Amino acid sequence: MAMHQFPLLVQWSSVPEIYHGFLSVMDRELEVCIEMASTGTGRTGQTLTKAGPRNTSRSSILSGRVGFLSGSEELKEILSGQETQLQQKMDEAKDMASFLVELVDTLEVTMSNRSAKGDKEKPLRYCTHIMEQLDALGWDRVTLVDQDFSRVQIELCDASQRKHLITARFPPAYPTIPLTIAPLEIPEYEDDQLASQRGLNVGGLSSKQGLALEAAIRQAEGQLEIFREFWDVMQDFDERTWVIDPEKPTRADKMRRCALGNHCSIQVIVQPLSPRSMPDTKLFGPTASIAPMRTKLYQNAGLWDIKKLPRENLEVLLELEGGFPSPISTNKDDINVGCGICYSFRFEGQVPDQLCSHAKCQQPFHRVCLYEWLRSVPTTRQSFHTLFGSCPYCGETITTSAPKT
Amino acid sequence: MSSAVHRRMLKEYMAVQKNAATRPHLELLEPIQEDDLLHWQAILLGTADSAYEGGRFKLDIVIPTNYPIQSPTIRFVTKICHPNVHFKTGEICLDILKSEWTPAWTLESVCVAISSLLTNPEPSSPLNCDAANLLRCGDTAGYNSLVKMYTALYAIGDSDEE
Repeated sequence: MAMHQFPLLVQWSSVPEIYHGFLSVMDRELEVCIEMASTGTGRTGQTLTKAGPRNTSRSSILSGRVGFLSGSEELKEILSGQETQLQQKMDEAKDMASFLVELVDTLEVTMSNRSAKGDKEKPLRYCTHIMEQLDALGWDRVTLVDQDFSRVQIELCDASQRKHLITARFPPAYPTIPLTIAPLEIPEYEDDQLASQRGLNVGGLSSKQGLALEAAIRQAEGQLEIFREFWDVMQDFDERTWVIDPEKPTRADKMRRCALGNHCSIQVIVQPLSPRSMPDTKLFGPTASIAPMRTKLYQNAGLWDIKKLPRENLEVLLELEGGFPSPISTNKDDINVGCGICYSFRFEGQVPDQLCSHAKCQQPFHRVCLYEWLRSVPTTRQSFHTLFGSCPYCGETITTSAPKT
Repeated sequence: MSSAVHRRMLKEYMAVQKNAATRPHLELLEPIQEDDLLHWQAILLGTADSAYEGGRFKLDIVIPTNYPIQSPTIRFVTKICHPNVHFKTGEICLDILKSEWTPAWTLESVCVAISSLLTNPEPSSPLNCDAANLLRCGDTAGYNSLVKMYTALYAIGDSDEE
């Protein structure tokens, strides 16, 4: 008999088979009384109403053809809404033990869902454990503790005084189940070999069993040191240029698209592990304007100085007098010229990248906006997916292709 | 598209407020209600030394939801005697409001264009034949006195009347 899986259940009677006692689910003991008719005899529950254990203060939960289940108010409450499925399981179960396995299963799922929702009181030791961890860490670095202690945010500071947030999540069954720590936001890097040489745990912080919060923080600090220079470089771009894309760069973003003025911009992809070497670059803008820049970039490539910041190097290579246009030197509206149709800079994630090719116009448009406008003009001609029409501003010929849907 | 039109109207609204001092013939250009950016009103002032001098002409502006792909619908609320404006409905015959519309125009620039239409009528495409015929016959004096009369009648004093 498999009933030894449930040591807290005591057999009350054998015919009909009745057990009474406690089920232990997720660190909690729930009172239960269960009665099952032996196969074929049908329902027998009524005979026991007087002497049986089920007419005490327990509430009836299931009463079926082959069995009867009652338990504490708490158990009833947890199982409310699932009576039908349980009834089915009871009817299908071949003996008491197999039904109990199903019952415990259901209870576990329901209870863990509940505690995930956080609408249940946490045991005291859950909180004390977390408090101990945080005490060891020092409270000055803790920026946020969730009301139910399930989430804790810790602030780390790197050598360049940048702040990084680490979020630790404590599962409801903590400390039996270890905490999880969201990986630190770091850039993706391709060179696995180099990474292992430096003793880096690729894939961020995986919290192993027994790895305490403090140890995890120490590991994160190691990562902060490795990428410090990378972030220095990126911060320099963010502060000293107008970054068009991404809109809100994260610590993991290696790409910056910086405005150069006159509707031109340069896209830079920095290598996280050697941030000061020459990055991949791509120029955007009207061909007439970017062609000479591209030439300069190639001709002056030898001037790249690894001691300088990439932003400074690019200024040298592109022969930018006065450097990149930056928040210090220019107004945002002069650089981020909005679309001539919708007047916005960013529209559905797009930036205006269709430019009027007329040298004196160069009005930028979003592809979506320009396409919609040209389609509405009767004189616009179409060849395959390309529309030929007039610039709404200067009237010169302008072409655009259908935006990708 | 409707959020796009709202964003554009908001930007136009801000630009209009910023430029308020720089357009002498446009007394007012604003949404009728703060929360509805698709329905505006404007008041044009008759240019000095023209037959419209002293008049205040109210415009009603309706923005379509696919603006600026489609032009706004603008009509005079104040009765006005002009070859290109329908006397009864206030409808305006202006190429940039119809075939020559492009998104490069803004409400403000359109209003300035309408204001300039007042002193530069185009009698070859009339909505008010009586006024147009006077001009086509070269009777400028007759035309001017007619315009002055209607301006005095409807656009001076309690000029907000329909």
